[in-house]
Parts: sequence; C-alpha cells; structure tokens
Amino acid sequence: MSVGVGGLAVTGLRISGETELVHGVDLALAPGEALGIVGESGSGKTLTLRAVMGLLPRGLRVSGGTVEAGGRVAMIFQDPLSYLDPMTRVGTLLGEICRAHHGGSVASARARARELFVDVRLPDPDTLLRRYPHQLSGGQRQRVLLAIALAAQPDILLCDEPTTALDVTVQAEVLALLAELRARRGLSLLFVSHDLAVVASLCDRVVVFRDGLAVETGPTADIVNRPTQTYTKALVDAVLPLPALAEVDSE
Amino acid sequence: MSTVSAVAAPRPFVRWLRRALRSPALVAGAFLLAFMVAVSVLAPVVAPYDPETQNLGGGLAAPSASHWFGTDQLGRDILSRVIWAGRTDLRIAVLAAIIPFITGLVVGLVSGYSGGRVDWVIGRVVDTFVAFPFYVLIIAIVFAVGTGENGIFIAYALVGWISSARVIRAKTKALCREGWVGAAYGGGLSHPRVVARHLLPNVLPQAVVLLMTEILLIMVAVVTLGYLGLGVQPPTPDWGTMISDGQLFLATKWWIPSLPGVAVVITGVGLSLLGDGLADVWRLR
Amino acid sequence: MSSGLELVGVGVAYGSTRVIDEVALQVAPGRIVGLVGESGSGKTTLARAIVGSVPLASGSIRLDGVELRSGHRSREERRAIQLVQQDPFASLNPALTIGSVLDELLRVHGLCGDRAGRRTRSAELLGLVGLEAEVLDRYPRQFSGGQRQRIAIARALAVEPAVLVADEPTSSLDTSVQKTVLELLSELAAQMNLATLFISHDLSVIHAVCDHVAVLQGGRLVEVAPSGRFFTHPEDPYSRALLEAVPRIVKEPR
Repeated sequence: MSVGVGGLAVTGLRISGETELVHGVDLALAPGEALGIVGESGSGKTLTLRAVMGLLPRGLRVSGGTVEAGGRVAMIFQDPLSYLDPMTRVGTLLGEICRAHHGGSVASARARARELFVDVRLPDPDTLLRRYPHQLSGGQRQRVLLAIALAAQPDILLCDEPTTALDVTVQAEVLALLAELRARRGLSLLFVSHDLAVVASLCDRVVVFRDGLAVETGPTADIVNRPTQTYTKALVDAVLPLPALAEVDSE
Repeated sequence: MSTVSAVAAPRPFVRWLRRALRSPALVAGAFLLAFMVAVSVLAPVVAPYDPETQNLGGGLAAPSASHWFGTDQLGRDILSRVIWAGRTDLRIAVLAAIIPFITGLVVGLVSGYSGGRVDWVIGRVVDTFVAFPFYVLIIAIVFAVGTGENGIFIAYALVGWISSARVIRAKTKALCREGWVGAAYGGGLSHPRVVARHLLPNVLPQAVVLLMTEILLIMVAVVTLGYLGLGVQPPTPDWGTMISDGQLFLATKWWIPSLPGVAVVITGVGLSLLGDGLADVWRLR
Repeated sequence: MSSGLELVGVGVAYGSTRVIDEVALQVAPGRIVGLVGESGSGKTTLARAIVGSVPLASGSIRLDGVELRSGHRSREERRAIQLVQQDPFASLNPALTIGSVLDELLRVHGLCGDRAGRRTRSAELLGLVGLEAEVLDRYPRQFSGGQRQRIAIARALAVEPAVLVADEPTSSLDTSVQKTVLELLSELAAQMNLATLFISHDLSVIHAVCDHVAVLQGGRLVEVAPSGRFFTHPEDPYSRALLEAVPRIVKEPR
C-alpha cells in the first residue's frame, strides 16, 4: 500500500527505551486531512510524532512497525524559544534555512524569508526579521517556527502542542492560521494536544492515545458525541463546558 | 478516596548506597581514600620502621625487599616516613577544613537567602578577598602568624571559606526561586528556621562535595608550604619537607622525592574521585 | 467571623513601571472569586502582593478590616493568607517528608498539642484532599503532579487560613486530574468558609468553580461580574474577545 503525496501511514509502531513506551500504534493520514492526536501526559502521543519525524530523544528508538510518509515532513513544537537560536536574528536564521533547502544567494534567501513572514501573517515583517527571539512575543515566535517549517515546502505538517503555552486569544489566531495554511497549500496536519477542545476545533478526525496505545479513532463529531471507549468518554466528560456566548446586539 | 500510586521506598540509606555503588568514581575514590586513611591511622602498626631512626651507613639505598621505598640521605626508611607524614598531612587537612566548611555554608546560606543589602555587603567582602591571589594570602598569613600547624589552621579559617560560600550562595538563590521556600515562610516559619530546617538539607550535598575539594586543596597547601619551609616543621615528617629535602636527588636517587609525591597524588586523586562520585550520586552535575 | 479579603486601589510597581494599577476586589468568606488574565496581565504579581512577597506602591490590602503590610507581616498575618502555586514540582521541599512539613507547621502554630495529636491531624488533612496517611512518611519525588498539588493544598489548610489564593493550581495537570482538584477546592471553600481567589488564564476552569469573575488586563481590572452574567453577557470588549477565543466542543443536540 503506498501513501499519496501528503499522506502518512504508521503501522504497528513500537517505541522503546529501557521499557516499551508505545505498543503498536496504527495511524493513517489522508492527503489534505487534519488528524488530531489527543491524550494525557505519558500517553505516547509526542513520542509517536517525533518518531514520524525521526527525532526521538537519545536513548529511545523505534523497536517495531513502519512509518511511511508521502512527501516532505516538517514540524512545529510547543516551546518555540528553545528551538530558536537566541544569538541569531530570526530573519538570518530563516534565510539560512531557506538556502539550505533551495540554494541560491543570500539576497534571494532573505527575500524568501520575508515572503514566509507574510505567509504566517507576521505584521511589519521587515522590522521583525531583524529581531532576536527574545524580543518577540510567544505568538510571534510560534509563527516564526511555522515559517521555518514552511520553508521546507512540506506536504505534511506535524504539530506538537504548538498552542499549549500561548494565551487563549493568541492560540485562536495560530489555530486560524493553521487552518488557513491548510486550505491554501493543501497541507496535511497531524496535530497533537492534551486539549480535546483545541483538537476538535481544528481536526477532521481524532485519535485518542492512552498509555502507549491508540484507544479509539474516528471523525471528530463521532468521538465527541458518540465515544465508544470508556476512556474516551472520560476525556470528553472532563472537558469543562462553557455556556453559549450571547450575540452582541446589533444596533 | 484514591490510593497513593507511589511505591513505598526501602530505607533511604540502603537506596542511596545502591546508587552510590553504581558510580565508578565514587567507588574508586572511596577505596583509594579509605586505603590512605587506614594506613595513616594505623601508622604505628603498619610502618615497618621508626621514621626518625637514622642509619647513615645505609643511606641512599634503592628500594629493596627490606626497604620497599628505599632509604633517604640519612638512612631513614622512606616508606615509614611516607606513612607517618601522611598521618600528619591528612590530619591537618581534615581539621583545617572544618571551620572554612562551616563558615562557607553559613555565609552562603545567609547571603543567598537574604538577598538585598546583606548579600551586597558580603559580596563586596568576598570580592576583596578574591582580588588577591589565593596562595599569596595564605603565605602572608602564615608568615604573620607563624609557621607550622597553627599557621595553616588560622590561614584557612580566615580565607578558605570564600569559594564554597560563592557556590552555596548560588545554590541557595536557585532554591529560593522554588515555591516551597516561600511556602515555608508563608506558613509562618521564621527566617532562621526556614534556612536551617528547609534550605540546609538541600544545600548540604553540594557543601559536602565542596568539602572534599577543600580538604584536597588544604592538603596540597600543607605540602606546598612544607616544601617552602613554611609549613610543618622538622622533625615532624611531612610530604612537603620530604620532597624539598629530597629534590637534590631527583635525577640520581629518584625514590627519595618522588615517592612522597606519589603519595600526595594518590590521596589527591582519591579525594577528587570521591567528590565527583558524590556529585554524581546526588545529581549535582 | 472574618469579613474576607479586600483590595482597595492596589498598585504594584517594578521600578518606574506600574505592573498593577488601581485594583479593587473583594473576596467574601466561603466564596470563590476568579481572576482571569493572559500572560503579562500581572495576575501572578497580584497574587504575590496579596501574600506579601511583593510591596505595594499604592492602595491597601485588608483582611477582616485590618490592613496588611507587605514584607513585615506577623506570623498570624502570614498564616491567614495561604498560596497554592502553579508548579506542583517546585512546591514541596524535596529533602523533607510530607509528614515532617505538616508536623512543623502545626507545632509552630501551637495546634493539636503533642506529636501524636499532630500526626492525627496531619492524616486528617491528607484525608480532606483524598490522600492516605501513608503519604506522611514519603518524599515529594514519590508523587505525581496531581498528588503534589493536593499535598500543597493540605499544607495550605494546615495552618487554618482565612484566605486561599490559588495561582493556576491546575494548569500543569492533566484534564482528568484537573476535575478532581477543582471539585476539591470548591468543597473546601464551602466547608471551611475560606475566601478563595482563583487565578487562571483558562476560562472554562474559572466557569467551573467561581461565583464571581474579575478580568485583569495590563495590570488593570476591566470587568468584575457574577459568573452567571459574565459568561453569557460580558460587558467589556476584552472579556468578550477572551470568551470568543476559547475553543469549544460543539456537541450535537440530543
């Protein structure tokens, strides 16, 4: 079985360190689809994502199963500050990465970096290109990370809790941006989060992870309204409800 | 009512010992040091000869079955002298380390916890001391106070606490950023109580590791001062004076100055490894 | 009978910058007031000012009508306001057993008589937060984040405070554990007549436990309202923006 461009097939994935941490996980991502992975800490969701990217931490390895990715894969992370060199201006960093992917002169890379900044909706790109990571806000840094990921012109974007550390308004903006990029570029998304509400708002299908296993998979509406597994039910119930916000009266 | 999912620990000391034995540095260091300490303590029993007995006819003899380390220019058995000198030097090093250890701990804790003006004043005092090369200070004090053991005790009591105080202060400051320190004071405990009962146990592992280095440095200082004639005075045997007296023979009768030097190195390596090992076990590095 | 916590015109400055400005708030005994703010809003600074670790530049903080000064609070004043912090992994002294920490607090405040009495009371406190007596002889490293947070709550309750300030107490916890801790805080506020200030950036959590909501933006309160009204009819545009930004699960009507 081959995956199309933008598709991902994970079969029987096992990840081990001193003990087995992920016990045979199956995932299928269709081109252009957004699949959400939901689970608590220690469920193996982040490890699975890193295994797809080939970025498992030292001491851990894939001990079984296969990962087949159609096309280029890029990834964004939870804490952008630790993924950006504090001593390099973000524009320079992005320029270097563009050159590493596509060659060309420094000037063309710089132009490409500016384009990417516009793509990720960073305001005043010329000024921000010259900033250092610590001079940017959390939301801006996450957009920079997104720009870096897009520099590779990926077909699949892996997201490891990218909005967990962000304020709720900033989170909403970043999620909207991801949805927009997905629509515009036809990106497939694999989005990991502990927050079911975030995953449900962005993704078409959801996989629930628990203790290194994929416990339930299905379309978002099914998982939220008709969970079949007890654990899934518990996760859905644990989402604290908010009353509906009344519309602002229009004058 | 939920059950506690933690595993009940076997006695903490047993767990600590198991972890300790897994550190090669700690095991090697402890072994070397235990050996040197045992030999020093048992000097009267273990040394084959009296360290002072001269035998001018049998002087400058190479190592042999009857004299494992050979004899020096006055015919004294070097092995016995090395053993007895070790007894002196180790004793002084350990005793002289006690006061700077306590001072460094107290100053570091108070400075780190208080912050503000107290920290600033102590910082300037430390800066003043640090401006001088360390050995210059030690030698100056020994010169002023008088040579021998007392000079060394006083010199280190006055000056030896500086480096450990700085490390303890840094560690204390880091700990104070953690919530439980504020919680202790916020719960109504007094400042001295927070420092003594809550901070001290967390800082002690670091302090003990620093103590190993302190003892090592004092031992080297004792040997150096002895070499310069400013330390332990004859007839008390001391590795430093042995090296100094024997240096003329370095090319011809190498065993006279070298073997005391080897003893210094072994003790030093033992202390250093033990310090590293403890730091590993307590996860300080 | 405590009249609760009262903040009037409270301001905090770091150097020349006003981090908190003109904050007026009241927390009555037995009630839970939620303080919502995004990063940089000053909510943690306000928590620290209430607890006394940060000096006020203006205004006053009163407990039961008596003004509390920062930095030089008496033992009784410190005891009256307790803080539960966000990071459960830094909130307990790693070198001490849970039991020794609780015992010391009880002893220093002269509660519960002798050692046996204190031990019984410590076990009771743990029971209040759903933990067993065996916990007393263990070290913090043997517990999960959720358990540590419950231990931190038990520690706060040990000195019998009038006010509890909970600064993002469930932010570092898994959602399943979060529910337990929130229910616990609700129960305790009612049972022990605690005036509770619940600080969070998470509006769904605030909705779950709080009677009143105060919104902090850039160091100023932009809205204070009862929970019922706030979540459906927020008055301030910033409050509305926050509520609109919360991702919600849309369930199909049954």
